[in-house]
Amino acid sequence: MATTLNPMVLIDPTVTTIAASSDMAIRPTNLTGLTIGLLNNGKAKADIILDTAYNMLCELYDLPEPVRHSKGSASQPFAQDVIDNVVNECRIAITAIGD
Amino acid sequence: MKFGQMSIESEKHILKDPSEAIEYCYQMGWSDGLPVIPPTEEKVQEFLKYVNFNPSEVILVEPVAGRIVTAEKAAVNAVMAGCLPEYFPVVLAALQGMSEPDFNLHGATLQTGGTAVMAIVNGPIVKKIGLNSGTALFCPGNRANSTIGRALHLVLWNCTGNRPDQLDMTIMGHAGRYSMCIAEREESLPMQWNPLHVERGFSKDSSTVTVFTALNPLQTGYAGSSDPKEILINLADTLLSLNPWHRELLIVVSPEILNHFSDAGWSKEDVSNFIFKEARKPARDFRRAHKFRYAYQDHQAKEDTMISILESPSALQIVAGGGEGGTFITVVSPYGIGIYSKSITRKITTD
Repeated sequence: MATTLNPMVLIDPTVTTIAASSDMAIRPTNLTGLTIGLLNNGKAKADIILDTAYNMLCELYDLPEPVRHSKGSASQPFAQDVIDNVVNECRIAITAIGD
Repeated sequence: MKFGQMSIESEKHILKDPSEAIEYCYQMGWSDGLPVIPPTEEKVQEFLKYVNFNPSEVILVEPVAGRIVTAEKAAVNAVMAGCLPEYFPVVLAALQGMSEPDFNLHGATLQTGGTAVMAIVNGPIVKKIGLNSGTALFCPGNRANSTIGRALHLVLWNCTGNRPDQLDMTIMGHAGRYSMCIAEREESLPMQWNPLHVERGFSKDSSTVTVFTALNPLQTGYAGSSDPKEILINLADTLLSLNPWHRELLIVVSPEILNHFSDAGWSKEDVSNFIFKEARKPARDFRRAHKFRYAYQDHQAKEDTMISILESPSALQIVAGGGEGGTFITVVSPYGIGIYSKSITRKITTD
C-alpha cells in the first residue's frame, strides 16, 4: 500500500544583515589646508602606505600635520572615541591595511 | 517559565520528504559540506523546550556586522549539526562565551589565520551526555563531541557570515572548522591539580564550556623517559617554532605523561615555570624568522636576549585528555597569541 508522506517544514538557519544606507560624503575639490586622518589597521607596513599617500598629497597641496591613529588589532574596529576624533578633526581620512 | 508551542519567527521552507530536504539544505548553502539533519519545526521546538528559552532570546551578537543569533537560530543549527536536545545547553553556553567582547568574535573567526572555535567541556555534564575525553580525543566517532563542535561552526557559517562567499578571509584554515570539541579527562589529573574550570574560578561540580580560538593542533610526544624534565624539553623544543610571548597557549596532556608528573611530584606550576624558562631562544632567531609579528613588548631586544614562548608561566593552559598507553601532548596556539582573542569559560545551565 502506498503511503503519503507529510511535507517537511524546515526552519531557515540563516541570519542576514540589513544593509545600512548612507550617502557618500561630498568630496572636496581642493585639499589645501585640510586636515587628513591617517588610519592604520595595525598590520605591518600599513604606516608605509599611509605615509607615502600623505607625502604624495603634500606634493600637490599645502597640508597641515595629519591626525594619526592605529588600531591595536587588525580584526577589531576602531574605538568610537577614535572615530569621533577623526570625524571632528579631519576633513578626509585615508585607511590602509598592510601585511 | 514554561512555554507551550513556541512561536518560530524564521522563514519556513516546505519540502516533500527527507531526501529532498537534505539536498535542499545543500542547494541553499546551509551545509558545511557534510549532510545536515533537516531542521524541522518539530525538532527545533524540542530543543527550545529542553532549555526553556524563548525563541527570540538573544544568544550571540556579532557586533561588527550587526548579526544577532537568537535561541531559535542556535536551535536550528544545532539540529542541523546532529545534536541531541541534551547537548543544546553546551552549545548555548559556548555561543554566549563567543559573544563576550574579550573573545573578539569577528576577529577570532574571520581573520586570515583560519582558526576554529575549540570547545573544552568540564564537569558533570561530560559524563551525563557522553562526551569523550579519552582515546581518539580529537577524532571522529563520538556524537556529542562531533555535533556540539559542529553546531558552533554551523552558527558561524549560517549566521555570522563565516564563509568564503561572505566575510571569511581564511587563507588555509584546518579541519577543526568542521568540529573541535573535547572534554577534559579530569580523572587523570594528578592529585592537587585542578581541572581547567576550577583554575578559572568555577566549582568542581559545576559544568562549564571554555571556548578558545584555535589554530591547527600540533602534536608532540616523547616516550624515552619518565623524567618530567626530559618530557618537557621535548615539548619546549616543539614550542620554539611558534611566535614568542604567548599570552595564552593550550596544551592537552595525555594520561601517561600526567602519571609521570604525578610520580615525580610535579605541580601545574612546576610544569608552567619549566616551559617558561626552557622554551626560549635568542631574539635574533625570532627576528630572522620574522616571528615578532605580534610583538607587543619591546621587539627591539638585543640579538642575544633570550625570549620565551610564553609571556608568563600562567599563560600555559594545561588540560588533561587523550587515550592511555601513549605519551603525547597536543599544542593549540590561539589567534594572535592570545592578545586579540581570549578564551572564555561559561557555566552550562541545564535548568
